[in-house]
Amino acid sequence: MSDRRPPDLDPEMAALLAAEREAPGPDDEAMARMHRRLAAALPAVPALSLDAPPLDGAATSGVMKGTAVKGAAVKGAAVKGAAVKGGILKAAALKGWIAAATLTAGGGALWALNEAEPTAERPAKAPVETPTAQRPTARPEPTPAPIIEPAPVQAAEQAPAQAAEPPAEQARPTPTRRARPKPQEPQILAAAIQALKGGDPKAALRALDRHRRLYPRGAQVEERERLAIKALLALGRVKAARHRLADFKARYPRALNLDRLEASVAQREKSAR
Amino acid sequence: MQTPNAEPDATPAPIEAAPPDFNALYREHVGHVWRTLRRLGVVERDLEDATHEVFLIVHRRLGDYDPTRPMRPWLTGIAWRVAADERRRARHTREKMIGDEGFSAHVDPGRGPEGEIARREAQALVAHGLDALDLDRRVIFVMYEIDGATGREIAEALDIPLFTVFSRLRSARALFKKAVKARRGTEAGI
Repeated sequence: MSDRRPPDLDPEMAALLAAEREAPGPDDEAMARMHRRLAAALPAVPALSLDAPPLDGAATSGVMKGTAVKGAAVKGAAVKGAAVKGGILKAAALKGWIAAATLTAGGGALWALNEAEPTAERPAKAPVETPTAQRPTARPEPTPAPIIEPAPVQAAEQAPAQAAEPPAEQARPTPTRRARPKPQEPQILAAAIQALKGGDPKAALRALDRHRRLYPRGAQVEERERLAIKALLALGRVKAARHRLADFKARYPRALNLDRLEASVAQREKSAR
Repeated sequence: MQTPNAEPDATPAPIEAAPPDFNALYREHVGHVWRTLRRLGVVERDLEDATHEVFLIVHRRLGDYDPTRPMRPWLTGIAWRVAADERRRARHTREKMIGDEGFSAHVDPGRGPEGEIARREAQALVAHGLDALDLDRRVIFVMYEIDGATGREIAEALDIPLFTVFSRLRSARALFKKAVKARRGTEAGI
């Protein structure tokens, strides 16, 4: 690694910081509030869904972890929402869980945040509200949405228990997709080169990133990095290319054609000014 | 202690040369952003607003993100700028940026009471140590020592020279350690 890393911290400080690394993230209510706010602020973002659990394991404490928005979220969103006077509540339960409840206190934009999923996957008792539970792909109608009775909390709280038992269809073994063989390093890089030659630097970057994922310490990392700089230049992302080049130089100070790479970046920088 | 810095390549950047999917990005990183803002001194009651602000910026600037780079340092760079704004706004109130109580708000049910107490104590000490740092040192300290970013990743995310990263890191470490020791001395009645 090119970084001139300072020595490690003394164990006492390191232990303290290790504890901090395990710090919990926002609580469930905060999480639900932030979801709602963001969905309202970014209507163009499709399906900012509440039903999927966050991917950040340490990020959350409690309900958002794994079991997503279960009972507590129902209380946090649905019940709380119902208590707001004049508010409009829309609740939808997906996958047997109450997944989302959106509310706007004074009317206005309202739409469900959930991704609609095939009803076959939903437990039979889960209350599903179909007519207005649209995904936010289209902007909501200016007319106020009808007030919908909040989902019964009891039913919602039962839902996770039902979800624990997979439906019969899910229990049945389904034919799994055959795993594709891992492509070889040269194969991926060849695809990147081909894409670059074909004038598709985005595809080249995709291939290179695939290489990075599959072979983080592969034999052809140097070649990957060199191609990445070229691809970034081809995309006109000169600053990113410059950063990448600096990294490349630090890692491979004796790389072949380093001077040519530098010249290319410098030339693009010059023309960009 | 082995920090995650040692293996920068072990956490490859998200795929997608095209801008990554915002929804997935949000779900994956909201906790990180929230914790980073808190570590950068945003007070508990402003954390939601600041997190919201960060993701609005992320949404706006997603096209600038280089998908071959790790996402977290980039997000932390944005969080740092938002935290700086928050700090400016909060300055006139002379509000303590992080209270120890802010770290104790959440309970991890998977941890026993003793473990929970130890965690809170450690977090309170860390909070105190971080409070001794100005924001520029603080963000570098957090990224390097807690998030495990490399010096170069930090330099890129914050747009500062690598030399500056390490020089600030050195002084941040010294200040942090001094503050933690002072706090421990006070608690022990020394």
